[in-house]
Amino acid sequence: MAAKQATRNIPLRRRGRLTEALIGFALSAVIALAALTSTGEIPFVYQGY
Amino acid sequence: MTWPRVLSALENRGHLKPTWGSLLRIGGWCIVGLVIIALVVPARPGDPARSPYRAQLSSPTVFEIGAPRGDERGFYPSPRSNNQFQIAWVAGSSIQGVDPERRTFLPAELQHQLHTIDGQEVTIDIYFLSGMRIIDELGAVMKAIDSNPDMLVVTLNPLWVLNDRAIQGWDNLDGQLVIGAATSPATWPLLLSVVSPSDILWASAGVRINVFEDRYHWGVKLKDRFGDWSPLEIQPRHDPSEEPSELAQVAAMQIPVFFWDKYDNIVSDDVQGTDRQAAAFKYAADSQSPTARAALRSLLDQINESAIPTYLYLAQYDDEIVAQPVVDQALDTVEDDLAEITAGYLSDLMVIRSESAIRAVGDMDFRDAIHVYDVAPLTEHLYSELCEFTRSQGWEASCGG
Repeated sequence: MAAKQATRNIPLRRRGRLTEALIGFALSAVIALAALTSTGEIPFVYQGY
Repeated sequence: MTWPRVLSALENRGHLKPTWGSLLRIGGWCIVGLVIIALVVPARPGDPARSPYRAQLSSPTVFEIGAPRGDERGFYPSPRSNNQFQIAWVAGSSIQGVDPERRTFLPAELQHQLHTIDGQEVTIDIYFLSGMRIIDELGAVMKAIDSNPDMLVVTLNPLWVLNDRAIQGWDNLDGQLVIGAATSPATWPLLLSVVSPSDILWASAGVRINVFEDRYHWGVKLKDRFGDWSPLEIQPRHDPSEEPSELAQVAAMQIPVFFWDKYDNIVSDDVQGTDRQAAAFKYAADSQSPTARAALRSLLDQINESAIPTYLYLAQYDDEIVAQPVVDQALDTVEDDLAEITAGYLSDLMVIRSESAIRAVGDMDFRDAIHVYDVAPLTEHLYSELCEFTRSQGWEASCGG
């Protein structure tokens, strides 16, 4: 019975791992996009008031 | 409300089990993703040939390699060639000639005379940033040492070298400080005063992943299209026609000296001209900044450990201002302090002139306290100094006689 349950769980566990990989890749894409679209400059604010 | 729903959907549909193990695996895939992106996105190292000062450099083998404000690479060292003698020259604007008719850089003028050393053509990378402070000089020296030049020249500004109001002007060099200090634990306490955790993360990531190292290049291109999307880009949120809040004004101050100038002005606004410059210099001489001293010692330690032959000197200061006894005394104080700090570092490989160049050169035509119209007298002085230095190193140089 336990062995049967374990066999049934394998695809679900694989789907869980796939979800983890997708989240990891999505995170890397967000981080890279954030890095590539920012210059690190302090924006200029007019001070002459 | 949204995040519990997302998590619940990931658990139910994605069969994600929120455990420490799954968190680790997600982190692992994230790193794999970043490595793949780094392989796909082409590297874009900075190009010294695109310097905005290119037209002011009279020698084709002298490069101004300072990066724009915000670029964490700091400098773009030029490629090295085996048959060239490369000098790395770290300096702020005191090496500029500011004649509007003919703007020049001292190292480029000097290279015309000192064109060969040790039988090789002299090339000079100028690690130049306008308004360079002592911690900026430390970052520049670290980067210069990393490029392994044959010789190093460091110009210190008498107004800033020991001034506690202006220890740093270019915080985009923080990453260079982190990288340079990685193997020098003695500099860590100093750096903790100026670098932030994000500097450490950006610098560490940038060492291996060019997406991070070259992000300024891409940022400038993509910012206009995607800048609003980036969680890292801080946009001023105010109506341009309205006065920004006081806090927004402070946040927009690019260098610390702007803050001090507004909130603890050391010279009242009705003092102008040379009197103002004299008062500011007297303050600098009296400030006894422990941070600036620590930065200077770190800079000297870095040079010492590198064993690169180095000539370090204190830049000129307007002789008419120095003629005022109070300024002469202030300059004396800076020179004496510099001599005391550097005394333990003098060696065959390191020559340090703690007296301002103005003492040796004398009369020059200044636009303001530091900037001369014509660098010719300084060029002659440094030509003579560097010729003596090259002789002491056993190098044959184009030094006449």
